[in-house]
Amino acid sequence: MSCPDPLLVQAYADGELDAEAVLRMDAHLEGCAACAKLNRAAAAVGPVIRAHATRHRLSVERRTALLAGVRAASGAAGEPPTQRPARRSRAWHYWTGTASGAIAAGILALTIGGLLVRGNSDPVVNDLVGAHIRSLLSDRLIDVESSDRHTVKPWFAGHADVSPPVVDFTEQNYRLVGGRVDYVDGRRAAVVVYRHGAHVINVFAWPDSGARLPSGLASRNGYNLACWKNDSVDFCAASDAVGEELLGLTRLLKPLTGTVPRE
Amino acid sequence: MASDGKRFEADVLPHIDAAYNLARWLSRSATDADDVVQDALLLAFRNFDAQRGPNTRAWFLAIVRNAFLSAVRRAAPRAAKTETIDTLDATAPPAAMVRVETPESEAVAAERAGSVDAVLERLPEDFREMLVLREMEGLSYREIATATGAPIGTVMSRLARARAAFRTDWQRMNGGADDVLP
Repeated sequence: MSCPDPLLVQAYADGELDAEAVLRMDAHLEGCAACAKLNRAAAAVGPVIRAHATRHRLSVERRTALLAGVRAASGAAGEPPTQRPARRSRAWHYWTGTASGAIAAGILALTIGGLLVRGNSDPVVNDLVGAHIRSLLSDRLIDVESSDRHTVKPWFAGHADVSPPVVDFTEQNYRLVGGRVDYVDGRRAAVVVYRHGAHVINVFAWPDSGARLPSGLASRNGYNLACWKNDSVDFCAASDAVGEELLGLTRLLKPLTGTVPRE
Repeated sequence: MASDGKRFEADVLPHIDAAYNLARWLSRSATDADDVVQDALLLAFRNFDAQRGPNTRAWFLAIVRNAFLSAVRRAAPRAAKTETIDTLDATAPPAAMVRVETPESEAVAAERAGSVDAVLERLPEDFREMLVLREMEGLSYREIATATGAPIGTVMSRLARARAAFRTDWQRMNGGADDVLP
């Protein structure tokens, strides 16, 4: 059996392959020790860096000063130049430029189209990403702050339309930090907030309203979403964590969410 | 005007931590990183909408990166020649051989010598950037391509070599231990 390009093995380790290519790679790695080793090697560096490297942060003072500077500029400079037609054509060049560059590189030209998690413009996705971003921007990350599931879970009963499972997965590196209520699709969603390394993961749960959820992993504006549903409740986890890290949490949660009823 | 300012804040400011982290790892200096982020914010504000791609984070990080390169060029027009890693032979001497001057006491330096931070700081800029964008910030290949202006194929091969270089240097600095990184 001929082995795939090592960069494809790496793309597999990075969660950048489409479903079909993943299945083919799964099958190949079963029987190929060399590629399996490559896969492990590619996947091993990230966790070491995330666990031990410093993710530098602005001090609160500098952050505040920078924001003040931007606000002053936005007041003084007037309207930023807006050229909508130009923007559209740039976006077009952006995508085609990227694709043709990859082909010029002579690598994986045939599979490149299927490599990447696709964008998504569903209104629910907008709601979720918007809510996730707002939670990071403001102090509204957490309404009830606790790593104790027995504090967070009952709190939802009085505040949200569903009461999702609240479990701390600190041992698996998904630390429960609290809960919040947010609006998704016009419903009061319960949001369970986790920390995974430097990343915040918001797990939204709201009564199923028939809205179409992205399947698998969706990406928008630099944020990843992983959604699933049961008979009556929709769930989505949102974060800027790597897709595979997000899926690590959803894999823990899914078995617990099969029978969560509406309140 | 007010709503444009708000939209800028809502779209761009969530990425300010990623921006600072990238600037800090590229410049290896807190003050320089601060200046770079400040420059980038103003540039981003001026070009908001006109030049924004579909992915705000990648677009903003590309601005941060350019702001860093401009600052380097301003500071040392002659010495600004950046290493072009893609032309280097894979068998070239590892990055750990290149001594990078950082303003810290010898004691601190010794303590940090084998740390992940120290290994990253000594990697060539192109490799360090790949590992920051991918492993710390979690950007997809396509986002990294946007942020660095490199084709996706280049991103993939550079990332592979960055990981290999990190592994080699890290194992050397930790006495050849082979157990943590399989």
